[in-house]
Amino acid sequence: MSIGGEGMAKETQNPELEYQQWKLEVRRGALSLAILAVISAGQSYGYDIMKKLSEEKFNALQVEPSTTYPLLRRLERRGMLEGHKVEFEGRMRRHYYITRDGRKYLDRMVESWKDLSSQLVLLLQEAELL
Amino acid sequence: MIEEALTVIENYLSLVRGYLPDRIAIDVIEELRAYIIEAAEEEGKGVLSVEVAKRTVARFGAPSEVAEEYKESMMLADDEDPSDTSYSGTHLTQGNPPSKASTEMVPREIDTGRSISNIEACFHFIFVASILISLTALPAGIYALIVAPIQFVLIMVFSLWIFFKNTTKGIQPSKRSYEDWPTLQRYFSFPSNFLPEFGHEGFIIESFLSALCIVLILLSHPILYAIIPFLLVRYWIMELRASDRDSSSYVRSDFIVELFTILIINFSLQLVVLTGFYWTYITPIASIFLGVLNTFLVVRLTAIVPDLWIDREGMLDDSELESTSSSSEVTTDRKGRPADLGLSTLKAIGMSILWTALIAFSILPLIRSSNYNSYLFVYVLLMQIPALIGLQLGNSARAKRKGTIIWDDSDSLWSFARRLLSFPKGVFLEQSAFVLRLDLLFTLLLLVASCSITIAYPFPSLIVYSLFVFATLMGVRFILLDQRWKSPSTIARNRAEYIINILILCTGTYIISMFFDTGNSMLTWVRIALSPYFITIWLPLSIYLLFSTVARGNSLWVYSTHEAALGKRTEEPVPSASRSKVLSEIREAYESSLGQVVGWGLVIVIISGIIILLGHQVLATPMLFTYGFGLILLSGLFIIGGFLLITIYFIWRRSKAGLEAHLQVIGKRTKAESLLDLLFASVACFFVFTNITDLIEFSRAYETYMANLTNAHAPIGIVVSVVYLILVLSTPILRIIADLGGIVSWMEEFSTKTIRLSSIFTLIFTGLVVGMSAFVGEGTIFEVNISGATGFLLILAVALIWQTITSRFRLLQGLEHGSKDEGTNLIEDLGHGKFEIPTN
Repeated sequence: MSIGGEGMAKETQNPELEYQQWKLEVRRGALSLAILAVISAGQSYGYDIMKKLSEEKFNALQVEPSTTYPLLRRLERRGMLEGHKVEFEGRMRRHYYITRDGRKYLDRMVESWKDLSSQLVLLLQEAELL
Repeated sequence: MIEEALTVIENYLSLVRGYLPDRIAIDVIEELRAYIIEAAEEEGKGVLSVEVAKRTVARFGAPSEVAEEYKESMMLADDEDPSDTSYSGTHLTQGNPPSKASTEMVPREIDTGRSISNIEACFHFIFVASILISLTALPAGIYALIVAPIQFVLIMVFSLWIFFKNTTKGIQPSKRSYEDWPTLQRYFSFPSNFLPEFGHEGFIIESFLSALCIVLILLSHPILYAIIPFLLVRYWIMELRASDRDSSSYVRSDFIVELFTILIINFSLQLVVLTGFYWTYITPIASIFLGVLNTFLVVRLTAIVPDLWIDREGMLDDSELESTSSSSEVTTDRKGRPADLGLSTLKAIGMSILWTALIAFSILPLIRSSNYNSYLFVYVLLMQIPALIGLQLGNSARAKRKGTIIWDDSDSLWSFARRLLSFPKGVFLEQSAFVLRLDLLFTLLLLVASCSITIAYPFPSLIVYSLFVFATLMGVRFILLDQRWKSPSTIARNRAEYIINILILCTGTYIISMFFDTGNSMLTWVRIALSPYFITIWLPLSIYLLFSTVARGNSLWVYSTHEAALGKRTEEPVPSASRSKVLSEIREAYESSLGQVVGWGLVIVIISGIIILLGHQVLATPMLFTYGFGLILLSGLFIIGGFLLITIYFIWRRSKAGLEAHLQVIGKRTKAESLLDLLFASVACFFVFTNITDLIEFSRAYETYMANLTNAHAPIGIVVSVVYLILVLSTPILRIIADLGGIVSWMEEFSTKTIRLSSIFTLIFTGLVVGMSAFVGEGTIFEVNISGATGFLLILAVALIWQTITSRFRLLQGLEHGSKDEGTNLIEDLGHGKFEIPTN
């Protein structure tokens, strides 16, 4: 086997990569719910949401800005948020509200999350990992 | 320095711009610019330097990745042609086909989005609620002068609560509106984040309050009975809302039902005030609870006013889903043809009227008395016709809204009977689980009522024989319904159920006619005390049975489910819990069960004995052979006898060999407990209802304080009866709600302790009441009912011991099935489900 092949084989066999990938995917999956939860308290804009999620107590939810801001647009596209421009100190900010549909689907997401986490906890308890 | 920092940022943005399509580029760049500058300023603590700018843009990531994320988010797959490469900038790598015309929806112009304060939002809410209170209080007349101010005050309290809650949480109400909204909608819309959501807990409180009101109404003057159907329809709408993915489609029905419920409550209470029946039975207590319920409904109504203009644009309509799935069945080689829903509805209405007429004509020849009143039962049947028509129309509206395709597969080979009784497929939907459970509940309540009357009525007569037949038929029906849950339908069972339903309709109607017939030999107290109870439960059940008789015509010739037709059984999922752990816990609990039975039994016997003795004041005036002492002995014998019976049963069960046999018994016992709860509730209502006047009269010593009242009913007696009723009913109602709705998952811990406490208090209080009633029962109907009262105490003792043991098992069953939802397991007990633990 060539050296390059061995290197490639080692890289694909690296469990650390799998862990990082898993962590990223879990965080991204939770981010929609987190964003909707933040906005449900009142209108908000992207940077404010990022700041909220950057707090120490939410550090597990931190993702890159390049993920967060486009995600807001996607939620807006899906009809769960509604954005509009607001001028603030000479700059245009995009503020987001949660729509009625967004609130309804947020409730469903919360229920799904509760089921998922409780069942996962149960599984881990049975396996005596928790 | 700032300019250099901004230059760094602009260079980065121009790189991102190069990867973005034209139509979103300006918007995205503008947004990114604001974010990056704000982030950089914050990181530099207000100072924008080149280093900070570089760090910030580096954190945002590679320009191509940022652009890719935005493209994926803003240009979803179904919107955009991937070959569109209308990029500006220097990164054009492909050919330059012209950009496609955008089909993007133009965003609606939103209003300025002015934030409003919590105070403003509260005042707005109070104002809208006041309008609704005024409108709904108008039919109440004089009663409005009492109720409207109270409701207004309660609304203000509610608004204050919301204000403090939102202020504490830092919630800033945000109200949106659009130019194309009607003026009324713009005015009546509240900020979307202002009002709390009525979630699970609100649903449970609402259910409990409504159930309590129904019970209190049954014990009040019949003027209030008209409220009950509205409360039941509310339950139906709540069930539809909870079970449907798109609950917003029921908003308008919800609004109308709520509005009419408030109106009917106000109107009925006004009648109570005008006619002076407010002191009859427990009408005052019922009025208070109805007032509370009414205020709750006004709040709900105010909250859902904005939803009357609910905009469903952009959502996938349920009818589209239904049409898509149904249309696949419309194949050219399928037998039959599409049918007309309207004609089917007319046929269903006609069939309903025909069955009603047939029942009336079958009963008329059985009327033996020449008393005119005996024919009043016809009016009861006629009252059912509008309800049936309403049900049929509602059913058709539902089918139409869902876009169900109605398919008529009849052919010339069918018999006349089949063509008469059958309907095209899709006209009638499968019964929902909730309706089936409600059916079971009413069946059991009537079964219990008819058994109780048969046992308690001392004289053999036609009414007793009729009730015996009725009870037998209801029992058979219950068994058939139970079987319907557990195993696939068969034609024979469907036909048996059909015939039983018709016989029940005939027998029940005959019994109703006897209640009306004052010329027969029925004792007056039976007629007055029992007929409202029986009739009130019978009315909704009979309407449902008539509707079901028409709807289940198809089942007489076909299986009710496709799986059943193939002979398949629906298998329960195998639980995944740790078997050995659960088994050992069940075994351990089971080992101690006998000790618990004996312990609790002794406690009950001792407490009951003390209470009854105190009630009879025997310790103060010892008279060995008085009337009172005989009853003490009788009560004691019943209790001790019951305790011994239970103990013997448990010993017998433990003598069965093998753990598996014991574990299988657990399922049956839990089901029996559910039945016992229903029996419990029915007997309690029966006992209190028939003895209500005497429970009041035993406090004669307080008559002097009530001299101003037109009748001599003491308030203490009313309070005693109501508190007793609430205590007695709290336990079974908690469980019945769990049985019906399966919604008590959060109440697991709460319900076990609460049920035990309420059972203990109920026992003590019942003993007190029985003792006192025996003491003052001379010359009253207690003389007749005392056997029922002590029998009731026996049932109470059985229920208490049973519940103590089985509540533990039920929790363990929850572990076995992988769920701690007590309610879900009870539903499975009552309806279907297997309790055999897998052997491998």
